[in-house]
Amino acid sequence: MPDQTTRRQALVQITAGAAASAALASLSPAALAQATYQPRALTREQFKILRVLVDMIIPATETPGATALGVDRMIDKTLTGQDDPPEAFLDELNNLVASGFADIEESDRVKLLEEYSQAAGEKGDFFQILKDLTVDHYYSTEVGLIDELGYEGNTALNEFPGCTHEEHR
Amino acid sequence: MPAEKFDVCVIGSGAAGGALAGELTRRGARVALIEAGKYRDPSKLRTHGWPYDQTQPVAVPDVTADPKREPVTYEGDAISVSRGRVIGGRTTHWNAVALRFSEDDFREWSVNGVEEDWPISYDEIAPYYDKAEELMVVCGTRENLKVLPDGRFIKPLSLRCSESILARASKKIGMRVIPVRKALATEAGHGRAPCHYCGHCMQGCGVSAIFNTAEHVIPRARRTGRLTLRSGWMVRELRTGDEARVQSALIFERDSRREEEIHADVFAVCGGNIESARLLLNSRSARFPNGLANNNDIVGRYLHGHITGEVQGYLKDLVGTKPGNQDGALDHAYIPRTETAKGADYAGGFGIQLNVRGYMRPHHARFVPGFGRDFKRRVRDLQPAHTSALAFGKVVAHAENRVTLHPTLVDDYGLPLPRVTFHWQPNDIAMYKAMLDGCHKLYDAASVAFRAQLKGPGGFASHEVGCVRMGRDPKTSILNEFNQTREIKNLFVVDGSSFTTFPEKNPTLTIVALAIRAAENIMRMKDRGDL
Repeated sequence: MPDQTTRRQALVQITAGAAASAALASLSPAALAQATYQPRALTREQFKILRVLVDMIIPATETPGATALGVDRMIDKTLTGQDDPPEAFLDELNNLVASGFADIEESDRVKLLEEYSQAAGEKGDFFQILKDLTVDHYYSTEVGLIDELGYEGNTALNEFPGCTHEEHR
Repeated sequence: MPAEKFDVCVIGSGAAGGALAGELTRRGARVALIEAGKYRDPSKLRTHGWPYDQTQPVAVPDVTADPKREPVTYEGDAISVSRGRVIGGRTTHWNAVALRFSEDDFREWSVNGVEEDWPISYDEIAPYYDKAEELMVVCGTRENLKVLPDGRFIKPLSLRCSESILARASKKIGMRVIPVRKALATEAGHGRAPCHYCGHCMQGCGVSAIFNTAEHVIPRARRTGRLTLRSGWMVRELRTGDEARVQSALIFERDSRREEEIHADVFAVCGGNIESARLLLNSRSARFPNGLANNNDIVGRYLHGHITGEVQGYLKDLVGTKPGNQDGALDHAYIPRTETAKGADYAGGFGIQLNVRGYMRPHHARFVPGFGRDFKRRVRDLQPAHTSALAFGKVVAHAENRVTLHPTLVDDYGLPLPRVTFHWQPNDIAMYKAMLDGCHKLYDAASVAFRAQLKGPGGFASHEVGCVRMGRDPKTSILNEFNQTREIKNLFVVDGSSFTTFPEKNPTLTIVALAIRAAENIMRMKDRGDL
């Protein structure tokens, strides 16, 4: 339900804020929710960085990337629900805000994130938390689980045939 | 009006208490069954929900003690214990692996020079294993293995591609992959709905294809007219007055805190390892200042359970193939323990359950290195190739590992908190290394790449046992060979806490076999006027 609430809030904002309405009305519902999402656990600046990061972890390919499926918002909500959001994660987001990460060249961003992915200590921890949050949410979406991963289960079968390949026995 | 007096008061309705109450009522006893939890309708479990529309149930249903209202305090190494609060106890959400202990498993001292021998032998318990399997309905294959005796099996689960590949590879290294033995109806005609292979076994089976005392035993017991089920009630203490005899159980309703006394000729404690010990320790009299039947200070000691270690990985043969539907009944294959090498630095053995993790999420996504397009592609390619090996090892019981009553803290119901003290011993650590080596050896033989070893060791996989042990030596045990306390004739303890020692095999089938056997003995003793 939270997504619908957000969307309803978004619609209220559209009617209230005439200036933005023309541009927003042309967006898809998902894009609309995204464009008007008010982060709660994160500041606007932190959220902007998070959006760039999650799409770097899981970009759009034949299937949508992380932000297109709302992973950025899900992470903000997850962090909102936590009694004790990981401090190291927030600190490092702030460092990236301060260094203008969102506005540097893409190749520099990739280089920087690679450093994080291989680092030990706080930077390494930051990367792992970011990645855990991103993949957990991404592959819990219908698109992530079924379209991207090809999952066909969670259903009732009369028989479970098992392996039918001669070469595996 | 005098209060009703029951033949037997059974405390706890899980594998032990459910089976015991079922067998006692079948044999004509009038039974009061006290269960702290309430009925949970399996058809309301939503086991086929999805993570993305908030219909997916939580990993384990809300049927255990609420850690906020009824906490456990821990000292020592990181392990956890589980306490059910539901009719059916932990049989309401279990993976149903049902293995017989072997002849040697009852003779640790004679065979391996560690711990003690049980006061009963395999031959003595074998007829009750037959009865337990008949009650529980166990699928499997006859393999003629000394380390894992065959039983009465129905149609086995078929092996998936990953399990077939591992089965072929295991032969090269002296391991043997066999179809798992589970208390699961794999076909119609066993008085319950057959499995429909949705893979949500651990969350509670929505159609009860898995054995569950709440669905398969207690309704039958009620139909005898001899079962009085008090659900939502818990025993505060067993009262003995000045005698060496339990006279009543002081019970309270968890919602209202109303108290009552239950009178019976015999009391059978089946609360699960921790709760059974806690109840005995919390029931004191001048005659039993350390708790009932505990004048040797053994109640609560010898706490142990399984040590677990897990390696996940990806079978090269299956990377990039079409995923299909691999859910099944969670794990379909088991690797029985191999002979422990002469000169090994540990006693005991370990078994491996394959593919217990399910396929509804990419377990590897957190571990695959890097990020971006290549990462995403790799996660997808690995998904159909996922496999997991979860090893369960024997833990040697030590008197210092124990549960006691917390001296000051009480739970919401005013009961002293269980205080669990546990440290892994050198044998356990050596076992853990051997378990992981075994998993890696298997993976080497089967070309399993990209392995992720879960942080461990883990304990006890909800398989905790030993706190009110039976034995031959009155100095180191509480119960005789009939699950009867030595100091109080009409007090029995029938659950996993009664295990003298514990091999690598899952406990439930043995718990049910012991319960059926105890019921028979209780009735025999009662008929003879011994109780």
